[in-house]
Amino acid sequence: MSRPLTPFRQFVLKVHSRCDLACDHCYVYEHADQSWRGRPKVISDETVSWTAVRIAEHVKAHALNRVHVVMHGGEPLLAGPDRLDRIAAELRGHLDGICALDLRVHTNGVLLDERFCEVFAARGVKVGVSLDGDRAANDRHRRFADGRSSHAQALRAVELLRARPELYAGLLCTVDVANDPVAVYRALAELEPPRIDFLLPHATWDVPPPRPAPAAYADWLIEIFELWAADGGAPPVRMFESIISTARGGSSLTESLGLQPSDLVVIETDGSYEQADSLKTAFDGAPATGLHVLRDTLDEVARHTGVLARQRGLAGLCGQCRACPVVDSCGGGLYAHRYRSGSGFANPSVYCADLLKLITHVRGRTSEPTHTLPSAALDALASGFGGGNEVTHLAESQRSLRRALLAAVNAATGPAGGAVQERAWELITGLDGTHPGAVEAVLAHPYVRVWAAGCLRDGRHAGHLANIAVAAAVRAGVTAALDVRVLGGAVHLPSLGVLDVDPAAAGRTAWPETDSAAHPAGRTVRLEVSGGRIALDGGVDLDPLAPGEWPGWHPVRRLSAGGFSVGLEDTDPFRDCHQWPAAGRLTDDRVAAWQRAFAEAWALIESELPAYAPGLRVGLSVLTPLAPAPEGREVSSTARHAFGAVAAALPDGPATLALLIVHEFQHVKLGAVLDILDLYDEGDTRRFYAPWRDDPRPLEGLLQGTYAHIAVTDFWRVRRHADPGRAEAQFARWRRDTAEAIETLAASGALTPLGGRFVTEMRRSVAAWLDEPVSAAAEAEAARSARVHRERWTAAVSPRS
Amino acid sequence: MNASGEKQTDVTSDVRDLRDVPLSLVGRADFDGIVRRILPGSPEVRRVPVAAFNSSI
Repeated sequence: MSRPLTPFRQFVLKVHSRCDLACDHCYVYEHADQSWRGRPKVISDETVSWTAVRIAEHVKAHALNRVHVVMHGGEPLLAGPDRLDRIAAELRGHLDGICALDLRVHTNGVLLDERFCEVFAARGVKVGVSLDGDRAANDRHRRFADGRSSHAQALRAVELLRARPELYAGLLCTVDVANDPVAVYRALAELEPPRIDFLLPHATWDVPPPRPAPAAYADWLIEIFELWAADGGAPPVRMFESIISTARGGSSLTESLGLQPSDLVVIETDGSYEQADSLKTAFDGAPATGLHVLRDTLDEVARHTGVLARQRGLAGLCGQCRACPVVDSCGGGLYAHRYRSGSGFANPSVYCADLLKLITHVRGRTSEPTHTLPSAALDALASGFGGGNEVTHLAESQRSLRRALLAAVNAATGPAGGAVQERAWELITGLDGTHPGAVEAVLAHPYVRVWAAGCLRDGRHAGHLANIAVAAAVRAGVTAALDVRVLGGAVHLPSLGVLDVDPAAAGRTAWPETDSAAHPAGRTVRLEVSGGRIALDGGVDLDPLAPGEWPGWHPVRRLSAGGFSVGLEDTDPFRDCHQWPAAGRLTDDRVAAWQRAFAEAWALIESELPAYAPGLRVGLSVLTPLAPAPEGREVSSTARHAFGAVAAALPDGPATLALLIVHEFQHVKLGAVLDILDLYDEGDTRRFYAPWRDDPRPLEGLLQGTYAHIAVTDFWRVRRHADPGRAEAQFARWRRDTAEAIETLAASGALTPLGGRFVTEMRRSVAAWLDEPVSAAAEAEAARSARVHRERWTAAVSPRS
Repeated sequence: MNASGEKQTDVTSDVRDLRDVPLSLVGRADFDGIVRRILPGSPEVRRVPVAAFNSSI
């Protein structure tokens, strides 16, 4: 039985078969295959049309959401701007609308000028330039036939592209170990390419590469890797990123490494289908398939034995490769580099020693550290406090969790998300390299993690990834356009605000989750971003950080006091994750009331509860208004996934708001500790008595409540001077109840050694307070209420006879 | 060592440090463990999703 074929997703279209340079390392003209001599110089319009038709039918047959076409040569610019314009138009005419077309041209840059750039801009063509490094390196091979250097022309081409970054795809550098790797890398990196490709020179066991040392290519690349790593991994280098990605179980990013099946095919200027271009280095005729674009479909090419041989993954490798510890990252190297007369391609790569050394080095240098928490920081947090330094440790670990969740969402939902989600992921990962602060500012918004966790649970709202990407693009000030998700008639940009796109929805107080069953694809609108402004078809054009420009834009407002500021989050559709419903958009009067209460509450915290203030400054980023509480009650809440957010209905007085904030932030801190450390046995399903609850609590609930009540106890302890009668009674009550709960935890038998240590520190704080004098009446009332609550609880939970 | 001469130690988590890993390179081997940790799928594991507070204060 034949296995399903692997569809092609990458198409190399040879638009011109000659070149204006005479590089002596060129595989097209200088290596074994000499088929170029019999090809037409320029691809015909008919061949282009048939190519577009073949790709389109392949896309439809295999429901491909994205394909990549590279206009290649020889030197493709020899075809001239008019012909390239026609080719690009033909491809777009057949493919736009049925899939995303990533259209590129790969050039030596000699002929690139404004005329070409205009064509490429109009047709959405990105440009990659071959450049072997600094002038000395580039001149070693990349010369005109008369020996002149091409370096100046290539640099001029790159400068044209740097002035039009939307066209700039990257630089391709063929490695020559005779060159200085530092000079090569620095020269390339200075040109700020979106990506650098280092290519091993094509070679086989029959014609091995120059090798001054046993692993000279590894040594050369390792020197660059160390520079690159020291620079923080920018600009992106595909070879290194591919090794890192595959070492972590991800995809290979290049055909020359990894076990993924090849999905690339070449269409020559005469319309012949060929296998990978690199095979030209093996033997004359090696890439040929005997198939032609006018006669044969791409499915027929995909069934060609030579193509299938490059799609067998591990099974297609020789025994030595299959047993190799780095085979996941190496994949036997480039197929062509395995060739040896007699045994064909059933060999390791001629670069085997280099690949083993390079991959081993990169893996060793990028092995994953894990988060740690200094013991002193853990103890400080366990005592119920923890200042800025301790909360910073927790906040830093949250960054890893958010990045993991975002990548997991993309992996889980990306395939179904199609081109829109692919573009969103490209934008956000690109910004992560170029504007990491902007990405982090958005990801750190508490409800991004809430969204990601929900999306991983039920797959809903995956399209919100585009909204996250656009919010990051706004903060980065870059130019981008994406189809963003509409929820409840509005487009929400996390951390920035919400834009009404459906007037009927203006003024809504709840955001219905209506995009799953009735509208599986979800509604989207195209949002364009440039220089920090956002624009929407229909005339909306606004600066989201300058409120008041557009009546339908509702920014996240901020509360400020004492040099501290938090967002007042009443826009995020994923904020409604608390036990009580989130409030709708607040009126200006209500915002003013929040500001007054916050200013007074923060002043109280800083003056009376100063130990809590530094941690709050670091970790509290958002206050989320809840719907008004039932009469006589105060409500507040913390959601485990919303690190940095405290939700509350605006209480009657600022002192209560201060209490709600410090209490809820205890949950924020402990939730973050539990995110990274095991304090108890999660498999223990018993329920325990909690003095402040009428229902039996699981161990985590008891731990959370007890930890939070340390702050409640402390609040009333320090408030005894301002509110003597009430505060003393509350202090007496909560220190007693908290101390009792701590002993329940300690005796539970469910704590890990680390959890035992944590609870010991909790006990140390409360034990000191037990020695503080309170009136006999307050003590008696605390004892009485504790007894009454316990008796009532026991009666309620005991089996009835 | 701290000021009192006591040796400072770290408590080590099994959560991978992904802060400096390019987002594009955060792979399954990176996120699987974290997702399992913070979104446990086992029905035996009950998390307290919301820490809610009311007027019992």
